[in-house]
Amino acid sequence: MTIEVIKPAASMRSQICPMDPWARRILNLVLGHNADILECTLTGPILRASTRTALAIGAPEGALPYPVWEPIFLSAGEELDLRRLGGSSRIYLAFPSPSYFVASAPMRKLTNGSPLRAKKSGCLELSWVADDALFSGAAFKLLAASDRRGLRYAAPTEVKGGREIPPEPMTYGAIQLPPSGNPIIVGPDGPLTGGYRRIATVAYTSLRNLAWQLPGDQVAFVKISREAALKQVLDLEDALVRDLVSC
Amino acid sequence: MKDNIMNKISGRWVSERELALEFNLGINCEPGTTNQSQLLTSKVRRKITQSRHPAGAAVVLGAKSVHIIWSLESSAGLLARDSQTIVAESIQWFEDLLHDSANKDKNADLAAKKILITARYADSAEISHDLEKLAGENKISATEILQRHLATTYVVAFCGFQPGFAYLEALPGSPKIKALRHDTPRAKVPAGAIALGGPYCGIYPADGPGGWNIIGLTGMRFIDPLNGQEVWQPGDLVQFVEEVK
Repeated sequence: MTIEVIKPAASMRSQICPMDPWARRILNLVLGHNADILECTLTGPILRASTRTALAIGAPEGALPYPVWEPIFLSAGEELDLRRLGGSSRIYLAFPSPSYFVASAPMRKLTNGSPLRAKKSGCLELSWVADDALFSGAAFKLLAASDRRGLRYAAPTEVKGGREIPPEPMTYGAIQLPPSGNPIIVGPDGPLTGGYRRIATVAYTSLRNLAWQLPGDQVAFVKISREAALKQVLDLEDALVRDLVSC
Repeated sequence: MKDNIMNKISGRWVSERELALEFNLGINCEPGTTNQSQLLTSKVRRKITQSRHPAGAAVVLGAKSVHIIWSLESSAGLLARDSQTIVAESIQWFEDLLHDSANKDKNADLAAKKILITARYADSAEISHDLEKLAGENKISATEILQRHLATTYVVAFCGFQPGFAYLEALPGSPKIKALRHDTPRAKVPAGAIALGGPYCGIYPADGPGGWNIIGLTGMRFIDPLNGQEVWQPGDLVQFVEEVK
């Protein structure tokens, strides 16, 4: 091992489906290979390089005192303190394959100003809503009882709870309204079908921002058109090809 | 048949890449009822789960809807086309599928499997069951609830919730059990718990929260470890048998 964990994260797990849908592909392009990445939740680890090595971090722009979405080269003995996530609930870590220093696999960095370098924001865009009146710009607070199965929000005002429905397919980003009136956003480990009414869907590009939300954070839900949501997906997909340059 | 179906399927986008096709003749969700849809026979359900949408999108079956989910890679193609045209084409695809089932495949054999599930129905350290709650709601004894459950042959309606889970519907003519979901779901239901919820019976594939009424526990799992596929498909029959100590 070239990297030791000096202090573990609150939670650090290898994820095939990270909550930030672009994190895995960006970090793999940065390090020039194809591997699972680690999703750290609430706190990150303290790491120490035992030999000269490199790693890459995925996080919202400006949250950490380290560069993100590009390789960080560490000399032997150098430490990286990732305990505080700078207001983000999750960060991602990727390590180069062991053959890197032998084979000199190409490393890349994400250019400054790329739309893939997003800041955490208090706005989550919706690509579909059942009823515009449900989200009239008011702030919803993320509750502590949230994880990768579901993100629970407290409604800003009394919302009439949804009744149960025949189970219908659910996907990551679907917003359900249970009888309590507090909406739940289905997470990547959430149910494949759900028996509560779906009232909206988070735009795919906003799932990155959702991944960064902390319990207690307030967000406003804003409806955008289906076409605008698709355009944003294409913008990020184009950036993945265009903005990762050799370093 | 075809014209009949036409008026009953509607399509609406529920995200930028997910289209819900909804049909209003779906199963009745009243507790304890077992009416199967005229449209959604077991054969049709199985055909839907085995189908690929012509655009290569994933097809996911719900109780009263089919969702078509396009891949991230199809985003450019979706944006380039008129959304209403895509909806119309998808409704057409679904109608053709139903039409084929009603005509061409009418006599095809469903080749349904029958799966026997052995289970324990007594309280134990692993589960505390809801038989008394169900007994109260149905105004019969807990023993009678179990007898009704064991006397029922279930049919796999569709899969969902979690990998390895199937919504099991009682075959028509089975004794009825009303099963109102808990207002507040249990924080942890163990893997293998057999539970009733609304008109369905199901087996929790993994530890997790759950709002259905637990009646028993099985050690069986329903994903084939060799290929990762679920052991059942819509139309397969399921019978529960009490484990003899």
